[in-house]
Amino acid sequence: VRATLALLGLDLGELVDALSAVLFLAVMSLGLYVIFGMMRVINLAHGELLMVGAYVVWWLDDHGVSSWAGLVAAPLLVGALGVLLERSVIRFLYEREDLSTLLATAGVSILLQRAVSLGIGTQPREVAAPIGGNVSILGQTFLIYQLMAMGLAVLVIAAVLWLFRRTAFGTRARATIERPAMAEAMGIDTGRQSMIAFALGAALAGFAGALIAPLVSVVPTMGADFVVQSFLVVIVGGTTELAGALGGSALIGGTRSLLTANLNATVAQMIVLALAMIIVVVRPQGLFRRS
Amino acid sequence: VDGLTRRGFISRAGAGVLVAGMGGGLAACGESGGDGGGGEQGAVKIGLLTSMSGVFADFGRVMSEATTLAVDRINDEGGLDGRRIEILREDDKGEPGVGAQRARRLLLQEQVDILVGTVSSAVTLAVLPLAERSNKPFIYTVDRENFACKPGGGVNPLVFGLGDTPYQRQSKYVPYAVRKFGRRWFLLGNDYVFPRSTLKVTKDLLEQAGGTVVGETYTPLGTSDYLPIVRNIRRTEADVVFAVVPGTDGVAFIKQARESGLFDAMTITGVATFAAEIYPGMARYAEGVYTVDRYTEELDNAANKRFVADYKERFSPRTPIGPAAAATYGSFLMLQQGQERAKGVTPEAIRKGLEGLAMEIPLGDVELETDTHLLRQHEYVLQIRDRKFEIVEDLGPVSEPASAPCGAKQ
Repeated sequence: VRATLALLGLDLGELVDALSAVLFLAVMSLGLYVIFGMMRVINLAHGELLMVGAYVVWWLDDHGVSSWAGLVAAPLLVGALGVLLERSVIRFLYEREDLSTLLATAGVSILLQRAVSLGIGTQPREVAAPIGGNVSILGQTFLIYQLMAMGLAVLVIAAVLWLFRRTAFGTRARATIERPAMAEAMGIDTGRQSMIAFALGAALAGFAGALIAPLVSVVPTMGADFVVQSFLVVIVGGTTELAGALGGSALIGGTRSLLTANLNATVAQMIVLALAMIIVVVRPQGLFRRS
Repeated sequence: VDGLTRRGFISRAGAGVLVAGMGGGLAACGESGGDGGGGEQGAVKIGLLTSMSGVFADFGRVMSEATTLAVDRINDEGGLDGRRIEILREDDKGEPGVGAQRARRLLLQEQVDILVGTVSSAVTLAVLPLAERSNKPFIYTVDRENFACKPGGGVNPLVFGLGDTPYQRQSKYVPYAVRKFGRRWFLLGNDYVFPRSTLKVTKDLLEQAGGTVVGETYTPLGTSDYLPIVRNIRRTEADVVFAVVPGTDGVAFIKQARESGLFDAMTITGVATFAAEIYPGMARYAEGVYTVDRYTEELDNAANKRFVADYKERFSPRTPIGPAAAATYGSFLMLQQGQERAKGVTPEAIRKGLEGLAMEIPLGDVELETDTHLLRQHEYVLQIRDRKFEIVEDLGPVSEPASAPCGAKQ
């Protein structure tokens, strides 16, 4: 395996690092996609939902509960928070074909950030990985947690794809995404679909937060660092295909990780942004949208 | 639809600005205004300009607490020149524009006698011309740039800098680390002015100490994925990783480096990365790390023992007390001691009181040097053991050379 990779000028370690960046970004962007695709709501509070997910894991960890529990509790609680937000704020704004959902979710993002700052404090919090340490494979060192998180991300992504492609819910959801008026005419309760979609999108953000918490510093402002990248994914991947979220993640996350390893992080960021701009100009509908 | 998405993305940036603005507004309501009573006749008014919100809020909070402690102590001991000190607090939010506006309020509207504070060097730079124009003494306690100078040469008579410059921090530590940990160094920093200027000093000192740079990389602020960088560092087989990655980025780097086993392969050290103020985010991962700083709560001097005991009793901090609190507290002790040399709080008296003043403050024995208006102070090799910054070695007092380039602008 190593010889083949070397022949291609690639390094196994770099590839795995890139793949883990891609999978994490895909979980995050899928949530954004589900909410946007279903309701045309650009959820500016997505990063803050991730942040709340990370704090759930920290809180459990701090109270002596295993971080494994956090990986389950975070998506559930953040999903519930999603239902609350959808019922109390977002659903009143669907009818308005303007930017009011943008303003509303921006408001929610500020609210969540300030609430956590005031309630828990601004100082960084520490979360330990449920499995620490590292392993050596083919002469490369990997975090055990990194490999485990990749596995979990694959499972969650597969579950979301299965849900949308193979279940009755998914059929109704895709109908709502592609032809909302027709779907309603066919008797689909699009309001209920929207609530479930918002909860699912929020739960995915919460899960992403739980996944990343052991690798970073848990602070109230942490969402901003991740949300920008997942918005890039949605811009690049297009907004109507689930696969767009995956393809967009591969392009944005993979390019950034591989360029960081081989050039430097600042240049990597510049190139990724330039790439996104070129794609917006050349293919405004997104790379992965069927025409 | 895609147009809307992009607009959403741009709005996100706008929302970020809004968050910063709102946050500051809320904090300002709670924090500005005088200390009890306020405006009494004959009180010495001292303005404390610091970050009560924004990225430096953790520093601002401890500076504000240390100020309360110092001022209560000095007022109990008779105040300055027989007058009580009244503190007026303003939040600069870590932004130069806000800092300038709040400094103007303190200096012109409130007519404070002395201005103390600032965390961000961008704010210090914005405040300097205002302090100069209003002819009021300005003591910055945390900022580590050389701003007390005049660009054309000489010192700014009423500006005093207590922060240790990158040269002071590293001039003895870099040779120490080369001897102790090895000659092949990898330099890692965030991609903005402070890490770059700090690492430039590191590079010069490393060359003089006979070491070599085997790799160097800078990451944009807000980087959370350090795994590709950790892999690159490992490949260089360096002896030492010298990291200047303050804040949450540093926490991400340390956690990922520790879990990858990089700590077993080489020594990871640096400045600003392991500051006591951000340490709670990486406590379990920074165990055993060596760093260098001008202060630790563990310092064994009389001034520090009293400071630490009083601070713990008053505020029960959950994290180690750091240099920002200690230096700010020290600045008030120096103002008090300065009264022995020149009575009163006129700008001239403050200058005479502080210039050349040598005394013990929680940082240890210090001297406010006449030729630079910067603080000659000790640097200590520290090791994080059992969640404390233990002293490994006192590297002794270090001065910023008077010939060093001036950071202040015309």
